[in-house]
Amino acid sequence: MSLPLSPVLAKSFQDLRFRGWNFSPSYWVQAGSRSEGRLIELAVLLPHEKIEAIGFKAFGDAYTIGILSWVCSQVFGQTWDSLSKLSLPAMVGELQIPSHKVSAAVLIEECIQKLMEKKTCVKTKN
Amino acid sequence: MTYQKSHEIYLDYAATSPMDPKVLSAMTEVLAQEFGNPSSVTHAFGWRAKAKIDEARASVAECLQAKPEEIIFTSGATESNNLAILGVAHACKARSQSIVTLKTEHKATLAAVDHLRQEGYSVRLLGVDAAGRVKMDEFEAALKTSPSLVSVMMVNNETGVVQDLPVLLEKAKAAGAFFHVDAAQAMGKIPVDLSALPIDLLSISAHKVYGPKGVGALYLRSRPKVPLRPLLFGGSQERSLRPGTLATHQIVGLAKALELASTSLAQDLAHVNLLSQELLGRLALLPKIQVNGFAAKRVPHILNVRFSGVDAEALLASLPQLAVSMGSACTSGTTEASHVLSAMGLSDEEANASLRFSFGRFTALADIRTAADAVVEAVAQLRALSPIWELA
Repeated sequence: MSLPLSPVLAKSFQDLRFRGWNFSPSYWVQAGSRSEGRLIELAVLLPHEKIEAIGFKAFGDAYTIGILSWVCSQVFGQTWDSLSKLSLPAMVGELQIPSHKVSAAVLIEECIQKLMEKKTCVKTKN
Repeated sequence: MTYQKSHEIYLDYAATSPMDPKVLSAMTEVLAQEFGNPSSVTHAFGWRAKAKIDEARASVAECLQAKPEEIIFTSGATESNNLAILGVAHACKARSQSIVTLKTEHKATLAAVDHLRQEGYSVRLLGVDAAGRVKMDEFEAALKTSPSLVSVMMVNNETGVVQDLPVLLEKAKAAGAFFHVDAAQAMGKIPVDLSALPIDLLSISAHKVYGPKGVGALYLRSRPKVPLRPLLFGGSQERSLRPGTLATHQIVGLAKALELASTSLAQDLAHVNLLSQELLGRLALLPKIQVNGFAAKRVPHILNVRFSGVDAEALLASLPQLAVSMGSACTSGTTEASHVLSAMGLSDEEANASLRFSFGRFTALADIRTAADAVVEAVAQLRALSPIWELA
């Protein structure tokens, strides 16, 4: 049992704004797996360099959902580069993630990396 | 008496129960007036305290249909389980070093038998079927090792599944084993009559039945005598089987709690039955939910429910106003599935999708309705978010 969440994380967990998406994503990535107990999806709408819409889906514990929600709130309306600033130490520190739950943040960092690589790949191809 | 803040709903009675005001009153009176040491034989302070202990002992024995001299006061069911298991195993070491118990027992039992294993004893942990009932073929095979002790809990603390004790007892007796029962979740919740169920040792706890924490008892059959070695040394209290100054107020609290539970057993059972039906009826609005242990005989005050496609920890976080338990525990980076649910054959995902609701005498029907509606809404919301649920 690892609850209660830190106040920031609890607020993010309750924040419904970024759950799911009803836009056609510019980029969409998935990380984790059902067997691991965490499966997450992240989608962004990026017509130019600004994140105009972002949404996530998640199966997992409260930390996974709360951290994803917080990430979305941090980068929504910001430039694409804002994603790269969301490092693992930043997430752990800001959200007061206990050591036994850092794996949730690691997965989300992996998801962000995938997203950035995808954009880079697409850009290179273009 | 109100035990919770207006927005909180306590549904974790299997973890601990609020104290009955009548228990609190009985304890307060003793704390205020009878500070004497019940072992002091030279003055009235000690005599009065001892009288309280004697009265409590007789009362606890009566609730169990046992004799007063068969009751040993302890600090709770964990100590009672340890005393029973280690005590009998050590006392019978020359005859047998085989111990039998179930994979679904409480950690207090599993840790005690693990300790015996490290001492060189042969420990058989028996499996259960999908409903949580002991596998009879494994039980019968284990008895062929001539164990000194068989330990089985009456009511499982996570699922509420009730083991068929009369059948197990008969087989264990035929094999010459002593039979210990952890009745922490059963005592005061369902009838426990030791004149009808001649088991050898039985562990009980006060705080599960509206009494104080820190006190319990071990019933130890006097005839035929059950050999028992103490765990502690240093005094002659409790016939030297559990030395240490007796906590008069705690013991009076235990006795009062059990007395109240005995007199209101039928009423309490009817109440929790109603609550259970209401909760289940409302949760059934959700597709793909399952009661773990559904096919077995269960007590009504514990309901372990699996919500497919949802992580129980996320569900708990969605329900900050509810006090319920998960079927899993977090240890070093991973969510460890409940050993009870795993033994019943549930996958980690299924076990981690399970919540335990438990309620009792002071749970209001309105609270159950509010809680159930909140759970239905939260599960629907998490499923809508879940990529797994989309695939289901």
